[in-house]
Parts: sequence; structure tokens; C-alpha cells
Amino acid sequence: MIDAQDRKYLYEPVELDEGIAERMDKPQLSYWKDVASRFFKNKAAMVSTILLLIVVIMAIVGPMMVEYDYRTTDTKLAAKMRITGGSMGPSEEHWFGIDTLGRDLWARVWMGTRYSLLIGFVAAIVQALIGIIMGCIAGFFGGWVDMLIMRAIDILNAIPYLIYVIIIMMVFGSGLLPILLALALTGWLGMARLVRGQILMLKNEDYILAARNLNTSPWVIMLKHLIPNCMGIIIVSLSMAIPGAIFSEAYLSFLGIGLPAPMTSLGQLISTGITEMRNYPHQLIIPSAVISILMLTLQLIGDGLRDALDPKLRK
Amino acid sequence: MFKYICKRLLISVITLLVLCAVVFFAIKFIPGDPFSGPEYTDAMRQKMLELYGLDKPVLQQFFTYMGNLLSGNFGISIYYTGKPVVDIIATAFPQSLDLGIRALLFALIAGIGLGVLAALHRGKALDYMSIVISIIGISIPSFVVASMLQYIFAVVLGWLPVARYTSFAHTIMPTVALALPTIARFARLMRTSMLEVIDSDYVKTARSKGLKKRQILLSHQVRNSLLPLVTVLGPTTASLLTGSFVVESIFAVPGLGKFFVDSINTQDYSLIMGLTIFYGAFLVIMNFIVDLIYGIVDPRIRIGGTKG
Repeated sequence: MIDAQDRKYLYEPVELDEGIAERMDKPQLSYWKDVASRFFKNKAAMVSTILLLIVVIMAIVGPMMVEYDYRTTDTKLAAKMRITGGSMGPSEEHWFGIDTLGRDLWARVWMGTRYSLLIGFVAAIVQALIGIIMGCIAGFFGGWVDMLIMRAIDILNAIPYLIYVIIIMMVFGSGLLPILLALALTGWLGMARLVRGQILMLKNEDYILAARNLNTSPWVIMLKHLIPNCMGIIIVSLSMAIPGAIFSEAYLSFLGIGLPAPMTSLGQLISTGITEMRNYPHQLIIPSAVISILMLTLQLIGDGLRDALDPKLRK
Repeated sequence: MFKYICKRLLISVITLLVLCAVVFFAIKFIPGDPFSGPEYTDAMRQKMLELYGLDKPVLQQFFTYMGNLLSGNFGISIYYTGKPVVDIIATAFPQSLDLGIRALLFALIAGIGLGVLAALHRGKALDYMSIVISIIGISIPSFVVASMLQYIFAVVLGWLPVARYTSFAHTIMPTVALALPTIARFARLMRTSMLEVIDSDYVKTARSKGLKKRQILLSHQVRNSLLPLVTVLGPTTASLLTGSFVVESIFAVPGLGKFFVDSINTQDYSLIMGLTIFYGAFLVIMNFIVDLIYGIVDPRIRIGGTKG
């Protein structure tokens, strides 16, 4: 046995210096800094981000770089090319060549990219907002509200949303607003499900209980406590919704119910490109390449964000 | 199990009713009617409206339409004057079904093959190749793939016929174009689930028993990783269906998809309505079958009763 006296010599107390004990060896990483560092390490996602930035910049400044307007036709030039068998393909005056009506394809492609991106981002954000609201209400209140919303989602989900979108587009006619409306009304199901799941998990946490005990209104709890804690999955799902919306718009334009002329989008350019494929393949290849780059980069960025925000989801 | 079936059945029926109502009332919302063009005099228009039953109150029209649907009458096409929608479905659906089944089979073989190869060669060239194929398949729209295939193999190289659907050679490109997104989806899923299974205890047991590699691969690893594929069969049918719209119209396959796209452009409302409801019913039935299969394959679903 070692008595108290001996212990005093065996264990010499270390001088406690508050400053050293509390010091961090490495800089503290917040959740978002951690996410950023994981994302920056992902090569595919970083290359995609740079490529996407280039496409976005081109969509903004591209149409302004040439003196031609994307709507101005030059039928004389087109007819001359047709008769003389000249190439409508890329040349010094027209960097991407011209289309069958003599419009400058450089201006058209970047203008189309602009519309495609605009629709993609706006539709995805509106979808996300509706999804978050529905998911929050269903998850937080539970009971019959939850039942109603979830069954509605089940029922809407059974039919591919593109069929609903086509019907809505037929009712409202083609145009920028109808497309956004149709995509917003149909695309929120997935987000609502995800948010609801997350909220069901979170709502029994102690800090929510504390907030409830303080008589905080449910809306404030949702806004201040629940939604910020769902931000990870919301961002991942949003980043996947953007290429989805761009794809849907292209698909609708391809079917002939997208944006009305003279507006243009990548889907519309491809759809006219297909009819001219035999003689003027550049009209098909260039917009196809741009949309492929756009979709690929958005997809890879989405994957990168998913891996960075929620390492558990990584496949 | 009985309760589970009843519940799925109820949801399926409600889904169909909702779809019918949405489609019907949405189309009623479109301003004008099919006979408001200048080629019809007022008297003729009145007669046509009476003939198609469009002069009655909307609710009555709806119940008549629903009653007709139950007896298999989908209405009469407006663009193809006098042709019942059912006739169009009967002549065009077999082509679509043929294309769809070909694409599904091709996707199953290629997708499972790619996924298994990728999992077996994890981190090597084959793995990366399959990842690249699946990313391309998921991210590049099917109409881009279809038109590129058509340009390269039919216009430039001249190996395959450009369009139509009459011989085996004609079916190759539509099948590949339609199957690609599904191949990508299957390959991804298969790779993930194979990786989970590949070093599990029962595989080790099988190995230590001295079973042949091929035997382990087929009857232990592949067989057990197939389950996730069953879960995506529903969405897969849906994506094959929407994919068929564009693939059929690019390759001029005389299937339902092409009729659907044409009916949008010719504004043939009764054909659109009929086809949408037909597609809806088809999907709902497919989903119901998939749910049943899933309930049989995975007992947890039956007991738990709810999904997701």
C-alpha cells in the first residue's frame, strides 16, 4: 500500500498553465471549412468547377464578343452557301459557323447556354424551396399532415414528372415562365422526402426539446434550428437538381414545347441540328458538346459536394 | 402480406384516378376547342362539338370519359380523323414494347457485366472505364447520344441504317441509345452492392470450402448483389418510357413514343389524353408488380409495411 504521504512524491503535480492546456495545436476547423477542404482535394470536382466557370463566363460574355445578334438572320449568306456548296461551318467571321437561316452560331450557342443555365438554376432553387417547405411541414408536424403530404408525393411520384411537365406546358403554352412553373410544380418531391427524413431524425434532439420548452414557435424552430441542420443534404440535392432541370428544359425544347423562337436554348439548337445533320454536322456537334460539358461538370460537382458534405453517403 | 398488397393496390388505383382527373381538367383548361379553326362554320362546329360530346357540362364529360375508359374506349383522335385512340395504341404499342424489352435486356446484361467487372478490378483501368461509362450515361441526355450515334454510325460510317424499324440492323442504334442511361444506373448500383458482398463472411466460407471461383462469383456474389436492381426497376421503366419519346422520334420508330411527340406538335388533345392515361396505367401496373416482387424478395418490406 502506498499511503498519501508517498503518493505525494510518486506523482508530482504538473504546473497547470491555463494558456497551454486550452491551446489548440492545429487551427480549429468548422464544419464548412472541413467541407471546403474535402471538396478542394477532389480533382474531378475541381476541374469541373473551373470548366463550369468558363462555360458560365462564356454564357455571359460570349454573345457580346461578336458583332452579330443571335436573332439576326442572314438568309442571303445562307442561300449563297447552299447554292455554292460552301461550308457553313466555323470560319474567321463566324467562329462556330452559321445556321440554316444564316444566324451566327457562336452568338446562338452562348445565348442558348445562358437560357439553359438560367432555367436550370432558377427552377432548381424554386423546386428546392417548395420541397423544403413541404418536407419541413410533413416532418415537423407529423400526424395527418404528414400522411397527406407523403401520400400526395407517392401518387405524384408514380408517373414520370416529365409527363406532368408536358401537360402543364400544353396548358400554359411555351415560354420562359411556363417552363419554370412546370418544373417547379413537379420537381420538389425528392427534396421534400429527403428533408422530411432528416427532420424526423432531428426533431427529437435535446436542443429542439429545449427550444420547445422555451415556447419557441414551431416556425422559428424550423427556420433557426432544423433547416440549418439539413443544409448538407439540401445543398447536395440542389446540386443534383440543376442538371436535372437543364436536362428537362432541353428535353422539352427537343419535343418542340420549350422556349418559343426567337429565344433559344441548347435543347432547341440540338433539335434543329439533328434535321441539318447530314449536310451541316457542326450545327449538331457544337451545341451537343456544350450541353455535354455542362451536364458532366454539374454532375461531377454534385458528386464532389455529396462526398464533401456527407462522407457517409460516399459510394 | 395481404395487407401490404391491399395498400399498394389502393395507392395504385388512386394514382390512376388522380392522373386521369389532372389530364382531363388540364386539357379542358386549354383555351379554344379543336373545332374553333376558320375551316369550320358555326353550324359545323356545333355539330362536331355535339358529335364529340363537347357541348355538355365539363363534369358530365368527365364522368362519361371515365366510364368510357373503363370499357376500354380511349376516345377518337382528332388529327387522324375518326381513328379511335385504342387502334393507334394497338398498332404502335408492340413496337415500343419490343424496343423497350430489347433495351432492358441489353441494359441488364451490359450493366450487370460492367458493374461486376468494375468491382472485381477495383481501382484498376476496367473500374475507371466503367465509372466513365456510367457518368457519361447518367449525365449526357439521351437525345444527344441518339443523334450522335445516328450521325457517326449511319451518316459518316454508313454501317447501320439511319432510321425506321424493320430489321435487326435497324434496332441496334435505338436499343443502345435507349439503354445507355439504364446501363449506367445498373452498373453503378451493381458495383456498389458487389463491393459490399465481395469480402463478406459467407464468401470467405465458400472460398475456404474450396468452391471454384466461378461458382462463388455466380451463386454467391452476383446473386446476392442483384437485390438493389429490383428496387430501381420501377424508375427504370419510367425512364425507358420517357427516353422512348425522343429515341423513337429520332430514329423514326413507329411506336407510341413517336405518336406521343407528334400529337404534342399537332395538338391532338384526345390522342395526348389517351396516351398519357395509357402510359400512366402501364407504369402504375409495372410499379405494382415491382412492389410485389420486392415484397416477396425482401421480407423486411412486408413486415415493416411502409417504405421510405
